[in-house]
Amino acid sequence: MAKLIDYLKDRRILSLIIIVLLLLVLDIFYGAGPPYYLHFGIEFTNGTQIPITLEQPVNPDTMSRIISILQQRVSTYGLKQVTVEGIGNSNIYVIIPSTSGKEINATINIIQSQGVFEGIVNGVEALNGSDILSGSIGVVPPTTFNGNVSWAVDFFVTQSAAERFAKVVYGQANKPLYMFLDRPTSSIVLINATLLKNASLQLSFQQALSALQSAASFGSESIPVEVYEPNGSNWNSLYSFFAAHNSSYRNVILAKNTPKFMVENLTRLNYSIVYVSVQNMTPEFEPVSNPLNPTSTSYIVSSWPAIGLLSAPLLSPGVTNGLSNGSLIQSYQISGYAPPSLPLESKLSYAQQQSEMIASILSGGALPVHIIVGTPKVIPPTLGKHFLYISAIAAILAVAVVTLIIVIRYRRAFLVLPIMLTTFTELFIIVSVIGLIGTIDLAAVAGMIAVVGTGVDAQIIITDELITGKSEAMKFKLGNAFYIVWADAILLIIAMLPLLFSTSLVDIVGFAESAILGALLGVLVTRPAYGAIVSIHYGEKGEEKKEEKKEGVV
Amino acid sequence: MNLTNIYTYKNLKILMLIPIALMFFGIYFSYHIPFDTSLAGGFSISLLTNQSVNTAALASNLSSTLHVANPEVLKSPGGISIIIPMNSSLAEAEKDLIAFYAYKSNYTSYSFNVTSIGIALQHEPNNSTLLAQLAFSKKGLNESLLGMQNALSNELNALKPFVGSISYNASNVENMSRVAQSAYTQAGNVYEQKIINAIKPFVKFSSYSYEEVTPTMSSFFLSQLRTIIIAAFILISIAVFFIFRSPIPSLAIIFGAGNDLIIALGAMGLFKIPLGIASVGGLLMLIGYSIDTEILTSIRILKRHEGTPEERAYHAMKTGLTMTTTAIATFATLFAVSIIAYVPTYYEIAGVVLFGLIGDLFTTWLGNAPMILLYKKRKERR
Repeated sequence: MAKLIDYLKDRRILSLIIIVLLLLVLDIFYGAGPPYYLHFGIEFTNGTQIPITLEQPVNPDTMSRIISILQQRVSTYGLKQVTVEGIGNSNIYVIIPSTSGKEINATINIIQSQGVFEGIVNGVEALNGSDILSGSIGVVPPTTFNGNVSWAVDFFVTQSAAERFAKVVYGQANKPLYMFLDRPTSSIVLINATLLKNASLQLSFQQALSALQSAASFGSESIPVEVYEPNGSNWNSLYSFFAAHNSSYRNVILAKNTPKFMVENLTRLNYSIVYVSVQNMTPEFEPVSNPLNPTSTSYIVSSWPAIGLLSAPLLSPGVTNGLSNGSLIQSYQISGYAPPSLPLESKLSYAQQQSEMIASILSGGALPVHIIVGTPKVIPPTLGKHFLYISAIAAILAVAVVTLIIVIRYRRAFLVLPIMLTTFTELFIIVSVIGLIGTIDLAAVAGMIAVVGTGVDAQIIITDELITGKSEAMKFKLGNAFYIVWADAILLIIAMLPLLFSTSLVDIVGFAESAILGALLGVLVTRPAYGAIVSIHYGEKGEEKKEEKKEGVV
Repeated sequence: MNLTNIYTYKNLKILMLIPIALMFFGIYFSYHIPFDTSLAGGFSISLLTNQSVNTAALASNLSSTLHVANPEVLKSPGGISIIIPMNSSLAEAEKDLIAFYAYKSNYTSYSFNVTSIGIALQHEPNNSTLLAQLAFSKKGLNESLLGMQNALSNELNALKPFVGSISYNASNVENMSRVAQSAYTQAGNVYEQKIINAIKPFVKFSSYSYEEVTPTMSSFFLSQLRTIIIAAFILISIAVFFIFRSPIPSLAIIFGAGNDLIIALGAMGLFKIPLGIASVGGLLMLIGYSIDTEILTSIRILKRHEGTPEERAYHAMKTGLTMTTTAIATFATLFAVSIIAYVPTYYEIAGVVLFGLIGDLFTTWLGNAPMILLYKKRKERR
C-alpha cells in the first residue's frame, strides 16, 4: 500500500489540491458573504424576473443602449442589485432580488416611466419635455477642426414654448441652462461638507455652496441644500432646521455613507430618506469667465445627479437677445467641445457620449423603441429553499449511484475513495468558479449533475485500461486512455458551444457553462489526478504481481 | 460480466434493423411532443403545500372559470404545479399593443417631418417640393393616427373581459399610449388574480411562483432552440470528420448521434415529456455525449491492433456498456428526483438524456459497431 506521501508527491494530485485550496480561499474572501458565499440565481435565493418585449427587434448597439438606460433608471431610484439582461434582439429581463409586491410594482413603474426633462435658467423654467417636438432631437456627428472636436444636439420646440423660452432667457447670456431629468420635489439635500471642497479649482467653501444653491433654486420649488460636518459638530443646528421644516418637505436626499444617527433622527422627524450613491452626491463644478470682466471667475455646478441635474450648457448671446429680428427661433442647438487636453481618439468618443447624453436628457431618458412589460415571474423564498435542497440531494444521490456502479463493476472497494474524491472536488470547483464569476441557477446545477454522470466515463476508460488491461506499461496505457478521454471531452464541449454563446436562451446557458467547465476540468485536472491515484495504488501491486507471475513461469 | 460476443455472428446486418426500427418509431412519436409553457406560451404557477389536493377537481374548476381547455395540475410531495395554456384574449392584446407601438413610431417621425417642413416653408412659402413633402407627411400622420386608434380599440376590445370598458382620448397620442400599456398590464394582473382565486378553494398557500410567457417570446425561444440544435449538430459533424478523416466511420458516428436524438424525441412524444427551453441542455448533452461510445468503439476497432476486430468490438462494448449504464443511472436519479419533487428544469433535461441514452445502447452496439466492423472487414479483404 502506497503511503500518503507518495500520493502527495505526484504533480497531478498536488495541482488538484492546490486548486481546491485556492478556490476555498477565493470563495471565503471574494464571495458575496453570508448566507450565500457564492452567487446563486433567483431560483435558489428568491427574487423576481420581469420580462420586457421590445416593439421591434433592434441591433446590438441599440440593445446595449436600452440596457444601459434601463440600468440607469433603476439605479438612480436606489434599487440595489438589479440585473438587466438582454435576451436575443427583442427581449430583456430585469431581475430584482426581492419578492415584495411593493418593490416589484415600483420597479415596473420605473421601467415604464418616461423621465421628465426640465430646463431651468436663473430659477425659472425655460423649457420642459413637452415643449420639445418628439422626434426632433438629433445628434450631430462630432466634427473636428484644428484638432478640436465639437459636439452638438439639435432640437425643435413648439411655437408657444419658443415664445416662453425667449422671454425667460432674455438678457441671460453666458448663464447656465440647468438641465434636469426627474428633478425631485418636496426634498431637502443633506450633503457632506468635504464634497464641497474642490482643490483643483481652488474653490472656496462659500463659493461652492452658493453655486449649489443657485443650481437648486426654482422659485417655490427650490431644493434647500444643507451641509453637515462629518464629525457631527453642526448637527444641532441642522436638526433644528429639519425639525422646523418637516411639514413643508417630505424627503431628504442623502448619500449612503451619511452617519447613521443623522438618518435615524431624520426618520424620527417623519422624513422619507432617498439614498443616492456617494458618486451621484458629488457635484461637479465648472469655472465660468465673464466676458465683460475677464479677471473675475464665477463657478457653476455642471452636474449633480443627486437632484437630477445632469448638464448645464451656457446660453449663447444669440438666443438671449429676444425677438431681435422679429422671427421666433424654434430650432435650437446645444453644443460644446471635448476637453482639449485629451488625445484625439478620446476627444471623439467624449463628444459622441456627450451628445448622446444630452439627447437622452432632452427626450426625458426615453428608450429608442417602445417596450411592453410582461407579467413578472416571482420565486418566493420558500420555493427557492426547496429547489436548493432538492438540488443538493440530487447531486449527492448522483455521486452515490455512480460510485456504487463502479464498485460493483470492478469489485474493488479501494476505488470508492478516489472516485468520490475526484467527483466531489470536481463539483466543488465548478460550483466555486461559476458562483464566483457567474450565477448558479437550476440549469447550472443540472449541468453539474450531468457532468457527474458523463465525466465518470473517463474514469471507466482509465480504470479499464489500467487495471483490466494486460501487459503494457502503466504509462503507455494511461496515454491510450487519455486519447479517447480527450476526444470525448472536446466533442462534448463543441456540442455545448452554440448554447454557451446564445444570448437568447439565458435561462439555460448555465447548463452549458457547467458542462464545458466540467469537461475541461475532467481532462486537465481531476481525471489525471484520478489516474495518478489509481496507478500509484495498482501500479505497485501490478508490478509485484507481474514479478510473481514471471517467477512462476520460470 | 459475461456476455456472448454478438460480433462473431455471421449476419451482422440483421442487428442493424433494430436501431433503424427505433428511428422510425422516434420519427412517428416525435410529432406528438408536448411543448411546455416556455415554448407554447401560457402560465405556470408553482406553490408549496403539504395538504392533499384534489387535482382533478382543481383542474376542472380552472378549466370552467378561465374557459381554457386542459389546464394541467401536477402534484409533488412538496406542493403542486399548474400549467395553463395561453389565453387567446391576452395573446390578441399583445399583438395589438405591438402594432400600436409600430404606428406610434411612424406617427412620431411624420409629426417631426410636418413641423420641420413647416418651418422651412416659412422661408420659402412657394417651394413645390416642400409642399409635396408636407402633403405626403400629413397623409402619413393621419394614417398612423388611424392605425393607432384601430390597434388600441382592438386591444381594449380583447381585454374587455378583464378590465371592462376603458375610455380614452382618441386625439391625444400620449394618452392613448398610456391607456394601451396600462390596460395590458392591468389585464395581466387581473388574469393572475383570477387564476389564484380559482386555486384558493382547493389549497391553502401563502406564497406562489407565477410565470407568464407571451406568444411573441415563446415563438422566439422555439426558433432559437432549433438554431442551436442544428448548429451543434453541424459543429459535431465537422469535429468527427476531423478526428477520423475518412467518410464511412464518420458518417456512421453521425448517424448514431442523429438516431439517438430522434429516439429521445420519440420517447418524449410517447411519454409526454414536454419540450421546453431547458430541453436544449439535454439535447446538446445527448449530441455531445452519446457519441462517446461510438468514438470508443471506432477507435478501438479501427486504430488498435491487439486481437481480432470482433474481440476489440466486444471489449469496447464491455467498457461502453459500463459507461452508458452509469450515465443512465445518473440521469435516472435526476429524473426520479425531478418527478418526485417536481423541478421542471431537471425533468426536461434528465428526460431527454435518459431516453436518448437508452436508445444509444441500441444505436451504438447494434447499429454503429456492426457498421464499423463491416467497414473494417471489407477494408482488410481488399
